[in-house]
Amino acid sequence: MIVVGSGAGGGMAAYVLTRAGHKVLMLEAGRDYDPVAETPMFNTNAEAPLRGTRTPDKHFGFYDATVDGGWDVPGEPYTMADGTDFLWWRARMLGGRTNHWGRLSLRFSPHDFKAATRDGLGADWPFEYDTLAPWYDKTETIVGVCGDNPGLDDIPDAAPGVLHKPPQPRVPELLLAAAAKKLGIPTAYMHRAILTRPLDNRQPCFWATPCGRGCSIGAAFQTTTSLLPLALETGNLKIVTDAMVHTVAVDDTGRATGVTFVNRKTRKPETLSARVVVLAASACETARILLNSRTDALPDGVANSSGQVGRNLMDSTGASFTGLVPALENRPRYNEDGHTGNHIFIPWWGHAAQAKGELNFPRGYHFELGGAFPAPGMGAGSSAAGYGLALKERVRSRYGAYVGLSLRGEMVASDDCYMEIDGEVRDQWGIPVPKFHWKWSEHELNQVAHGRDTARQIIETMGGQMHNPDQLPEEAIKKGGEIIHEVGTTRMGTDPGTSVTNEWGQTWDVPNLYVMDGGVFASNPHKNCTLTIMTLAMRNADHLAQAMGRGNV
Amino acid sequence: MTHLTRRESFRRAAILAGASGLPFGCAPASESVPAAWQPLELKPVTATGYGTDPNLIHPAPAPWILTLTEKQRNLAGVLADILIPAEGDIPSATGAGVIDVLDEWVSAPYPLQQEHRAVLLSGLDWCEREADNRFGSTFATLTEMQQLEIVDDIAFPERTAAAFAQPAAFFDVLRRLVAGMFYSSPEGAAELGYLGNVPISGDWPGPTAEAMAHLNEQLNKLGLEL
Ligand SMILES: Cc1cc2nc3c(=O)[nH]c(=O)nc-3n(C[C@H](O)[C@H](O)[C@H](O)COP(=O)(O)OP(=O)(O)OC[C@H]3O[C@@H](n4cnc5c(N)ncnc54)[C@H](O)[C@@H]3O)c2cc1C
Ligand code: SF4
Repeated sequence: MIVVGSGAGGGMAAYVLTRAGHKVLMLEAGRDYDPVAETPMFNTNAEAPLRGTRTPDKHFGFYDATVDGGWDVPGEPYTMADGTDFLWWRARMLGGRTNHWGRLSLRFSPHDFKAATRDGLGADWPFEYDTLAPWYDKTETIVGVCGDNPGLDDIPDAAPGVLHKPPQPRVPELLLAAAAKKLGIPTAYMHRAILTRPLDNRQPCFWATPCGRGCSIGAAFQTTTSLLPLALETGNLKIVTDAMVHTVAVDDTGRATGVTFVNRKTRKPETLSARVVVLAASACETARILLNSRTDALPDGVANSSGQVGRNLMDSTGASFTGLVPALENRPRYNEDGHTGNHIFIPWWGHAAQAKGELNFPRGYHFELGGAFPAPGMGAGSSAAGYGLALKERVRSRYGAYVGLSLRGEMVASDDCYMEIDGEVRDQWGIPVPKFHWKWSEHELNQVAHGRDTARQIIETMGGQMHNPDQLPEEAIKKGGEIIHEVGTTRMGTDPGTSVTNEWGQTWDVPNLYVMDGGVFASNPHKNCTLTIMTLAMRNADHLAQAMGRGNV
Repeated sequence: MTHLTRRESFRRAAILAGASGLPFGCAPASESVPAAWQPLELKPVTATGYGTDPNLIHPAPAPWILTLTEKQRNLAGVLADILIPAEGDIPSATGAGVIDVLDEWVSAPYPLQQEHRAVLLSGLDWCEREADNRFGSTFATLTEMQQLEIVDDIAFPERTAAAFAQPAAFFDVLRRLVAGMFYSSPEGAAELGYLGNVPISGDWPGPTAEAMAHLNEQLNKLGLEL
């Protein structure tokens, strides 16, 4: 069978299928990539051009692992409707975006699966939390996630022994937690896909080096140091890189027969046949492939009798609130790198208030807390003022004295947010490109306003001052796509009329065609999507493997 | 009070305030008419960047050609060292190699850097014209006192006279760049006291006792508890 894409979804699908004894051919658009040889673990900003700063060639800085991608991919544009400002992050490399993702890995909670029944917005999932719980345990066991079970309603417990021990909070995080506590707002250990004990051939985190560069010792999860090597070990996986899939072929009986891709090296199309096709090219690429697969017989594209392919596109809401905290000025230095991400966070604490109708927005959000002595880069200059010794004194005293609260919230699917195929523009491989439509609704704007006011209260309770406290939510909210949690474009459900796949990611229309990326999300809870992408891919690949074993596909 | 003696008294106050690490109390508006701000007409840098898949382990030197003239480098160096002077064993901005990085920065083909190039080159040009306007000399050959007289008019955006708005915006860009480049140099990082980027085995050790003592003191003052 063919798996398209080697990121979170494709990596997990290939792992499960090959270990169940099935032969898998993985097609990946990007180049081959070896994190052991290519990760600049200890390189400093001083060794990089422009001090490692962000440029249009490397949008998240020189050392970020992303190959040939970012907000733009050379030769592969996308378009937007008038009034839409959407960002689409891609990486053209084996392992996709798992090589440099933030590794924040929160389970969805029981509240998240039937939210539409509760508030009438968007769609329900075709199952409850309890159905996924054991799969979360299995996924976390293989991925390796540090965190704990705080017993809060927004953070379901993992089975005993699954989670790795999290690192304790840093000084600014402790101060943030104390301020939040005074306001009745809880904090908890962040869950991140970071090993703090050995697993398989992977070593535990050694508390240094930014994970966005990738992790050559395998502590930070990426498919290229974990699922893909494990799948290759079975002898059942073959990976073909530089293979840009553009269509799935479907025969007269409605079965998928294979895929066509452009070999990026020869620039020629090649066609392969397969018993089963699994698409995991990321939510928008998978929808693009399905829509581009239209034929005279299927003018709306493959697996699109519902008309829902490309619709229901969701990202997380995002906003960033920062402030200077005098209590943190001139504090004693120590090595604050930790696992280089946030050690604690503020989970959503408003379920009860929402149930009582006290909030003017549906669904929740969380805050990722920031504050540490960072590895100095060009940002070190931003606190400078005046000149001379007074300038130096000020920069020194403010080093490590800023805090940040990054809001990540749930948006509700809407008719205003979707993608389709642009009728005119093609990429350098001749493949028609997606065209995005986007508009935030009152729900998201009210949520961000609530987050802004809460962040301000927390920062002021610490004796600090928030930058830009009166910023309008329209200005504070990040662009659609900017949080890089795009999902929903091939949603799962119980009704073939309103969803693209069933609960197993199997498309309603084409029984041997599966989707195993974030496209299948029915809603997009505020907990960053990737752990759930992998959990669904594991559950659904397991179901597929068993069905194949029984000859049912 | 003549122009110069009034300047001189301010200059003394500035030295005192600078030595004590306090920001200056006031800055007088210049009484002479400053040189006009004249944006330079610059040819865009058309070099190619380092690309979307550079070698990250052994970064090659930036592939674009450095474009600052010797005169511009010297003037930038004088200003950079006014911003970040040497302090004990810690080198000044130029001592830490900031001008090479600044040259790489303004010569880079990327939009932000080209924007900075326009502001910085126009600003350096303004400094020369203003030095000539006030003292009939080039900026680098002015006395330190004279240099600071000009800098004082543009270094404090919150109280800059309207006539100096654009030079002050230039100085702000220069300051952020020079400070960023200095503090990301090995010498600057050491001055800040960055202690990370070293591997540690076992559990993360967490804050030191000293760091916790400081935190507890602050929590007490704020009436907060963990
Ligand atoms: C900087 C950053 C930080 C992030 N932080 C977090 C976080 O902390 N927590 C979280 O949950 N999520 C995070 N994410 C999001 C996370 O990376 C994605 O949700 C996840 O990688 C999606 O998995 P995927 O398998 O759908 O897609 P990807 O991981 O992107 O993999 C898709 C693969 O398919 C390939 N492909 C695409 N099109 C084709 C085609 N036509 N033919 C063949 N192959 C194709 C791509 O090259 C890619 O390798 C972050 C993302 C970024 C960029
Ligand atoms: S901080 Fe830890 S997990 Fe992250 S890259 Fe470094 S060693 Fe790997």
